[in-house]
Amino acid sequence: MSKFEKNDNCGTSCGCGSQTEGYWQDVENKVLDPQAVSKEFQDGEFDSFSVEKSRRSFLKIMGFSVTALPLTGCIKIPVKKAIPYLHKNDTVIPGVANWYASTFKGVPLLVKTRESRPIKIEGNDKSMTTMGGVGSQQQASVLSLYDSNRLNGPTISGAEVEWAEFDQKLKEDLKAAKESGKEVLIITPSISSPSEITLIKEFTKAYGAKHIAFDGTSDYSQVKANEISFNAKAKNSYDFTKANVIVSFGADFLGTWGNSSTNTKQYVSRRDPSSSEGMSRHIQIEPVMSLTGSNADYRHTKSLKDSRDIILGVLKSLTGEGPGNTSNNDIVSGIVKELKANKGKSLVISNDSDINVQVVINKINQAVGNYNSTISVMKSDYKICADDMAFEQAVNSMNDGNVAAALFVDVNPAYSFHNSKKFESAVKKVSTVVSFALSNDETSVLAKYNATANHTFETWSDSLVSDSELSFTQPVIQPLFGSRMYTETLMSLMGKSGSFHDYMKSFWSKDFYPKSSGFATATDFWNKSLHDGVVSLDGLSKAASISSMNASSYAKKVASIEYSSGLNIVTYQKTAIMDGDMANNPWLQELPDPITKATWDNYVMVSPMYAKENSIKTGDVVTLKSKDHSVTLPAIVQPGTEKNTVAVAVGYGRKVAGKVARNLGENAFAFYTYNRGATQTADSFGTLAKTGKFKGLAQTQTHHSMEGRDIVRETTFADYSKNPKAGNEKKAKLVNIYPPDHKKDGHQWAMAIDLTKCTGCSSCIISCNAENNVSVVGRQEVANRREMHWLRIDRYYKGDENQPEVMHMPMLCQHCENAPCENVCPVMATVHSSDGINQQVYNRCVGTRYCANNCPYKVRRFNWFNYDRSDKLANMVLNPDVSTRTRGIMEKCSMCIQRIQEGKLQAKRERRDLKDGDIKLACQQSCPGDGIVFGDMNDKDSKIAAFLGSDRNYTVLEELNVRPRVSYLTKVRNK
Amino acid sequence: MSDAHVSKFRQKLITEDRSYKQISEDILDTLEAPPTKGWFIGFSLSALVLTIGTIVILYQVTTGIGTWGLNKTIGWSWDITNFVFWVGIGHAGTLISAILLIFRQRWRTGINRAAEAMTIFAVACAGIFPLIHAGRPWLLYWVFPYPNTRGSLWVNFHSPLLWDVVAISTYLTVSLVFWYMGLLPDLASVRDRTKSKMRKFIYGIASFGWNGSTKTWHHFEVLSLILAGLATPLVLSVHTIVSFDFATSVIPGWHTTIFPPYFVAGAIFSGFAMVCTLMILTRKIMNWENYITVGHIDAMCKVITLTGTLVGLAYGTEFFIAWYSGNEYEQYAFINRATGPYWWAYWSMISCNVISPQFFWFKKLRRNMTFVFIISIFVNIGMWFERFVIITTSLHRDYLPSSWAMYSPTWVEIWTFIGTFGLFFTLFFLFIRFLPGIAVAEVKSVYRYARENK
Repeated sequence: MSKFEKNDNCGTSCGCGSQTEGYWQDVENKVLDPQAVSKEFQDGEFDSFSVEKSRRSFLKIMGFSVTALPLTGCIKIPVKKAIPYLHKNDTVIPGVANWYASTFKGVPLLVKTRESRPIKIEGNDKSMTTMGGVGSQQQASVLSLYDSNRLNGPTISGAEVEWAEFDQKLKEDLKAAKESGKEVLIITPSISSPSEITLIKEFTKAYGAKHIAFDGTSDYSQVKANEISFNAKAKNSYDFTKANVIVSFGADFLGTWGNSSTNTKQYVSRRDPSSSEGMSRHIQIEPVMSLTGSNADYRHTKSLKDSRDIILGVLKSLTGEGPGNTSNNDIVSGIVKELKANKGKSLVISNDSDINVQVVINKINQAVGNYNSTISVMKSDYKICADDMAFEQAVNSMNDGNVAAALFVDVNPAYSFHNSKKFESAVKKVSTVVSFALSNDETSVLAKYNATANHTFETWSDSLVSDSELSFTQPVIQPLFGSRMYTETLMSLMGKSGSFHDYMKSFWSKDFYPKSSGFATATDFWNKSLHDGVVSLDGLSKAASISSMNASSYAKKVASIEYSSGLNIVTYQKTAIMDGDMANNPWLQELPDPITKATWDNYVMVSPMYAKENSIKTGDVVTLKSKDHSVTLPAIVQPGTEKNTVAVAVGYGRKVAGKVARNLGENAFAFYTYNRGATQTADSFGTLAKTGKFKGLAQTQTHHSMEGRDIVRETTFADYSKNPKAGNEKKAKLVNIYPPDHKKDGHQWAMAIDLTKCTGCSSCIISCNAENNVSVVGRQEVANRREMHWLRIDRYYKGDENQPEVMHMPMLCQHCENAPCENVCPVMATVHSSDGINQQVYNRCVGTRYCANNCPYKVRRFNWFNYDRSDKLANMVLNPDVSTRTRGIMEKCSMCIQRIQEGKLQAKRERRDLKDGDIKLACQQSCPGDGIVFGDMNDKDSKIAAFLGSDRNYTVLEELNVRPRVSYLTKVRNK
Repeated sequence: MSDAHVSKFRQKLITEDRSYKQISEDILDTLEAPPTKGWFIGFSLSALVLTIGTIVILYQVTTGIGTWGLNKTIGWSWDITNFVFWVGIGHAGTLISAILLIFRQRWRTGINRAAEAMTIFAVACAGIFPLIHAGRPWLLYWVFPYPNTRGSLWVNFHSPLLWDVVAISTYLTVSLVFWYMGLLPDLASVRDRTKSKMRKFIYGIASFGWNGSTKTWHHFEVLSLILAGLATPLVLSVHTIVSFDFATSVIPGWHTTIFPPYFVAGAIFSGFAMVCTLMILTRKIMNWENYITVGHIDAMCKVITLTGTLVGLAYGTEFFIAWYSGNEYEQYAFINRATGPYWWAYWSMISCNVISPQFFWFKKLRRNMTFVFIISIFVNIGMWFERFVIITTSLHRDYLPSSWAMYSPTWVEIWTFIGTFGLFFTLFFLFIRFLPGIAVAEVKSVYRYARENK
């Protein structure tokens, strides 16, 4: 017995002991009216506990205790380890997220961290360039951070060493290389980081090194063409907001070409039929269906040769230069008519890797006065673009034994160079090879030194994301492995002391602070820029002077390009995997390709016509052979593919990579060729042969026609202009045998999706996966049609299968007011909330799957197994606000209920009403086209209310009277 | 006993002349003799299949429903197909014992015992599927409305699955009681005949102290009638409610008001076919051709023809209504059944269920045991396909074509289904080994039928 229990009065004035009668200090200690007390415990309710003192009751109690006590031993008490902070970080509050601005692959973004773990990526609204847009690779980058395949520190010849030893040995070797009189090369991807470029310049000076930029898939042809046309070694900057007409020759600018998030944002802003500017018109000419092509108003399936002929035809009609063309005159005249009508307000773009074609494109744009209106060519010292020719020469130089040291920073030419065998043998002739890879790749295993670099989210850097905007990269977590920023390794090799952070800070105060205005000190400027993540400054780049030139000779060169016989092998990038550097990311692998809806694979795309003639079915394994390379992959019959064209995606066929990417598909970079002064992506020709084998593709959608059903409603801009209700005239006559609905007070959540704004980019899917801890199921399970995505994008084709029209429709739980899933659940595991959300109660679900069967939209996802969560490191990415699901239970879109709760709580804490836009769902936030609107439909001034009231608004399968809370706006094509 | 005139149209229900003692011996001697070789082989085979099935189910329950071939679009297929199939099989027993009792169809006495046993075993097989088809079967007790400490969290009375739980468990209980009650006088006979002490003891307990007094017989008869009265609506209700699983949904091909009568007819159809299958085998193996006569089979074939034609009418009606409704989803669902990727299942169903029973219009064929046996197997196959067609082909292509998918069973599903046959036949073999396969007392009561003038 403790002394406190003994004492009647604890000695303080707490009132526990003596109490002056009539006064009480708190409710607990108030001595209650004895009568009231006895009333409260009437009828001897509590007396039944007092045991009658008899032998029988003694035995009863004994019996109970003796049997009950051992039972308590059977209860497993979980071992809980709560380790308190030794020094509590005052910025980390458990349960409250911290947001940091950073950049990934040139896109400004915000990193959400919980208890210091980065768990989610969202766009940075403050950026003038991306306006908060963010792509799927950015969304998925946070999972790559937790890749347990990453290297655990520096290695020399495969052996782990300390950094000090590493630096010392490498320094000696580099010194020897420098003194040998041979070349020292530092090879990076295209860089747009001012600080890094400055540092690399210092490094090249210190070691007499040469800096070469290499990209697996580069924009070299455009850069080179700009050099020829305008003497500016720079890429084009586009402004889609000013373009009334966009003519794209194969450029997938909404998916994989250029800065797609920015492009999408700008492009979609001109796709609003109700805007006063009117809709932009988009014409796409391409040999294979791209995401961008699927959004075009007019899309022409044309071979690469035909595309080039059309370009020449357009040039001839506009300027009289060049040989012109002979075929496709209707398309040429159509384009010319549009371009002439929109002088200075059009855009002609091409992804052609032929330099001459790009020069002709430049000339066309110039002829219609697009420069400095929709296109600008800005020279900047802070951007270095990949140079195919320089790298080609470097490989030759290595092969000739003229290179003593080569440093590979974040590049993987052993995988992505068109002739990887040549590269490998060349590298073997270099005595000091350094790789800065995060995890082993095809190049790093050839290197003696591996200066394991940090992930972007463990790194300080900056990048020039447009011509005038800088974006910060700041570390959001301590390095998880024993890696080091490559910039610090370079500094250490140069004998520079201090961190790259300090280097960068002093660089900023020297170079950028003078360009800024309104900051008292350089530190103020730094802090503000770092906080916002982005800062716009003048004088970061200079416009090239656009002078007129004659393109005749270039057009002639284009006309004289020789095409071999056979099938034209076109390579392309997939939206998620791109050039394969993030191939080890399971979220990206499982993201369905927006067009083929295939996951986890690359494949040979063939046209329906070719497939019919050669009786090829989707899934037939075929061998595609070019002059010096062949791949054996399943075929996919893809509508919108030109008849004599086959397409294979690069980014697959990684030989040295983590377990996710390893040996998945085949490497198509080998179909690249170096021709006409640049790396050509579509210059291979070859033959296709069936192997007789079959390998089913892991597609999330296998039926591609809407079967004439009223699912996606669409109209043309011409019809819309006459009648905003065009295409949306149908209205189901609904009858209800039940009395009027439940009360709809308070918040009533609703969502609307504008099908005109949805490009199908699929960024929302990754965002949803990350936010809601959606399981990755793997190739086989996707092939079994069991992917877990809560949000999918249905893609339908219409019309001629060689020239189909494409529709993208995001489909998620429709949160029906009369939800058919709710009344069939025997245990009430799915119920309706008072604010209109269909809720799934995981704990209560027994897994009858009746709800999924009865869902007309088939959006419910069942946990067929316990999906793999054994990777402890990868589990760090889990959102602690959302429980993970075990096998045997149903799950589906929750409308990010955790975000709704957070938003409501925030408003409550600030003692204010919830404002429209306070709550943004994960899919909505990440939509680069702002096509998803969510809000309270009871709020008459809200955006959602406006969307619901739109003439274009409809619900899918309205006639079922399930009353979805998710509605759609008709798709309008500018025809 | 009386000299009353006997119509020449009356057929003897027991074909050969026997004394009551002989009848007892014919049926009960088999219980006392050592089991035959045929029984051993049959039982071992069934038990082996049951064991494999059990192992497969254990594997599935511990690993996940993912071991089946289902997917995001097709949430039920073989599991619920098998469930409805077995529930349907379990229909004939109660119909024979309850409805035929009320209608005083005295010919039923030869087959009612085995048919009722079959009912119970089939319902047991059926019951496995709702249990193991759940994602978390260990929590399936939540479907019972009982007071609990979770709130108390109630079940959803709107859900047809809950109605199913009630309907099936009631049906099983009533069938079991009815069947066991009918066994009592025969169990007492076994008790009284045996010389083994242990058998005397066991059958003594099992026969609840039956003493054969008039009062006991009186109670017995009254209870029979009461239970028959209780069971009769159940015959109609069980499959009606099973059909609600589909009829109350929104899925085209499921959402139809024709389902209750259609399902009941189908269930009786398949139940009688199964009784035929089993009885033709049993009368041969057990030498009971005297008791389970060609006349019995003939009568059952007539029921099969009637219900098979009803089912065919339902198939036709469905198509008509799909067209008449003007509902494009409904229309597509039915065109897809007949011409889509699962056309073979649909046409197997049509040929087995609609065409094959039409042969029974010919008396000669109804009385040809080999032919009836083959057709009864066809009917069972056809009725399995009917459920497969309804469940799988409706689900695999519903509203949004983006989600259309295909289904094929895995080895786990196939073995689970085969395993239930193992359970069914294991129980049936045990039944004919340890319990009187024909209701001795009742058969005796009809012995004199068409023999009254002798």
